[in-house]
Amino acid sequence: MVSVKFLRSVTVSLCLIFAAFGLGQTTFNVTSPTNGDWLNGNKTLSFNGKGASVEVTVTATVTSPSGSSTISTKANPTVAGEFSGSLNLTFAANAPQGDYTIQVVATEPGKTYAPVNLAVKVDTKLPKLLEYRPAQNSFVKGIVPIRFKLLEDNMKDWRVTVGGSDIPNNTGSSTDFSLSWNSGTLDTDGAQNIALAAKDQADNILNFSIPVTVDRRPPVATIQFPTASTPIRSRADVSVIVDIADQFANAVSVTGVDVIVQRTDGTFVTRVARQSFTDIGNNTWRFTGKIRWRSGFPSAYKIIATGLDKAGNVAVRQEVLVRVNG
Amino acid sequence: MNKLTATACLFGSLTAIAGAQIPDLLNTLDAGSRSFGAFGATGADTFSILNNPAGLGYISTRSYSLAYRNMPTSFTSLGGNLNAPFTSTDGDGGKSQLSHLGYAIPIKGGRTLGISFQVGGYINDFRGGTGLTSGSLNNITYSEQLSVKTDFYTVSLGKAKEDGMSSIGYGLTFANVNFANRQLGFIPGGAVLIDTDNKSTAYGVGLVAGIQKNDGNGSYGVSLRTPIQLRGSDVVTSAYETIAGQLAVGYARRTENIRGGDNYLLQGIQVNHFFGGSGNGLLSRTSQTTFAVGLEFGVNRESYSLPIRLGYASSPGGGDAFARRDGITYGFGYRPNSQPWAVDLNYGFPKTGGKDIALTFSYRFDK
Repeated sequence: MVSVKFLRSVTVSLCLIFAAFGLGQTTFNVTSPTNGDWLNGNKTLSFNGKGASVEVTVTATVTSPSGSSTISTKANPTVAGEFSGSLNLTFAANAPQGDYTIQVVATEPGKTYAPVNLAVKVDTKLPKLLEYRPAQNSFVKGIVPIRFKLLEDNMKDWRVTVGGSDIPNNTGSSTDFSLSWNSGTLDTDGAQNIALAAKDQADNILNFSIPVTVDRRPPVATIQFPTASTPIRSRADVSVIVDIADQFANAVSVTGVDVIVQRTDGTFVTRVARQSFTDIGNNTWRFTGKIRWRSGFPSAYKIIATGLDKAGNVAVRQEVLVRVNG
Repeated sequence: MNKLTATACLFGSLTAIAGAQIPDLLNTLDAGSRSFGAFGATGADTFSILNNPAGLGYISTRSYSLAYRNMPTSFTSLGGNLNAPFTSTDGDGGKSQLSHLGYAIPIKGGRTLGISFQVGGYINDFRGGTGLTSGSLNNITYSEQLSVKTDFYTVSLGKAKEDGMSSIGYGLTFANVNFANRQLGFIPGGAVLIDTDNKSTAYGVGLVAGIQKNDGNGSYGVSLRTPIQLRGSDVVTSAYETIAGQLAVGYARRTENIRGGDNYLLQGIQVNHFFGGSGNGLLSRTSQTTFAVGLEFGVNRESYSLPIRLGYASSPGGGDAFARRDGITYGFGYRPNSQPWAVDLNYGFPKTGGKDIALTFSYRFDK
């Protein structure tokens, strides 16, 4: 039979044990964020504590330059009186940016915990891309100048890669930066991707891609009409048809095709007015222009066609000597 | 019968000539004259005003004649490459129109003055094709109409010696060329490749001169028309700069009393050399020599005579656009002995197709 004296001894022993483990004291900590941290739009506030006996209510009061808001959660302690948990700190995109204070208070009936006061900075906005080059879906060759200009007050760092690989001088922390990529080292022409990852102090990350096509092969221009033996009569209005073929679709530059008429001595007569520029398939574009007869037009003339693709490769100049025959 | 009379008899029935010559351009069947070619240089009629003015010397009465004949057309089908197409040409008779109008009048000094209008050359060619190519361009439709008509307005003088054994003549001819060219090439649903619409007229002046000589059995004739430089239109001269000159040499011989009675047989041959012509593309002109032979059997009756003709004319190609053109000719006439008029109807059948027909009417004021 258990005596009252025995029970009293056990009780005293347990009290001594709990006292030895400190269960009689309360602590409360916020592990994240810490004082001075940058917070982006979605941050988790993590906390833990000791000395709890029953459910602990943790309340965070977030004070911004424009007001305060409160969020809370409850945490159940372990047998040892420990508790932990988290609160989601969500800041709207249009929330005031800058200095905030967060007071985190844990409460438990009959017990008190020291509140935690944090001074943090809030930045909910991604770095904004103001300018960049080359243009997306452009055609490039040789040394490709790359430039980014960002709008970000709290810039942390940026990184540029091509095809997933680093290129020289591809990191930094400025908001307006340029670098170069030598596409000439590639074995084959084709699609490449220039990627930017720009991060601010709050870890807002801007990822931006510039797909480009490396094109180092010049287009091929062919004067389809007229030819040297086409029956061109006096005072004829004549269409000029020039096909420009490139290795890639949409690579031919419409403004890069120039067709002119020269006298046989090389003096300029006129520029052939473009009437249409159409895709005829097989990566080939067709320039159609018109030579309209006018007084003084020579009876023998040269049609000269030059072509340029969007990467800047120049086609071999084509020339046809036309003689009015009739 | 003196020689002048003999010559007149030799050619007296030749006033009915086959119609306009088409010397320079397409129809060379009548490059000479009578029965399409055999008697041009040796004739004595209003056609001589242009063909050989020496023939005027044997015209002793006022006379005129006119000819009405078809102007041949041709259709050229194109295939393959537009720039060097395969061609196939078919001829056709074409519309008829006045091709000669001449008037001859003896004047003082034994000379005869002649003035004439004569169609000297004619082209009416339509060429076209579909599904043509040019480089990588396909399915090109192309058509071109070319019309060229060369008219000669001529004033000539001819004078024969009193013995009629020879005659000389010379004249001035004004050539007028009407030119029209419509060209259209396009890709269906696509660009108009070529578009030309030219109409213009050019002119030029040349000389004609000739001699005829009788040897008792027949008559020789030599005539020359100088090349004629055209002017007045860049459109025309860019295609047709110079009308070719013509040197014609002919011989005609008359045999009497064939098959009894007053029937006769006239035999003629003529060679024409065209030279000095120049053109470009459409009317590219090279030198060319043509010839024609012909027979005329004259059936003389008391009240009329009925000449029946048969001939052959050959004309090789005379340029890029002028293919060889040979053909058989025949014809007949009617001339009442008591009347001052005569009519002739002549036919030509070019191997290239079509049919040439010329109706000639002549009239003498002083029979």
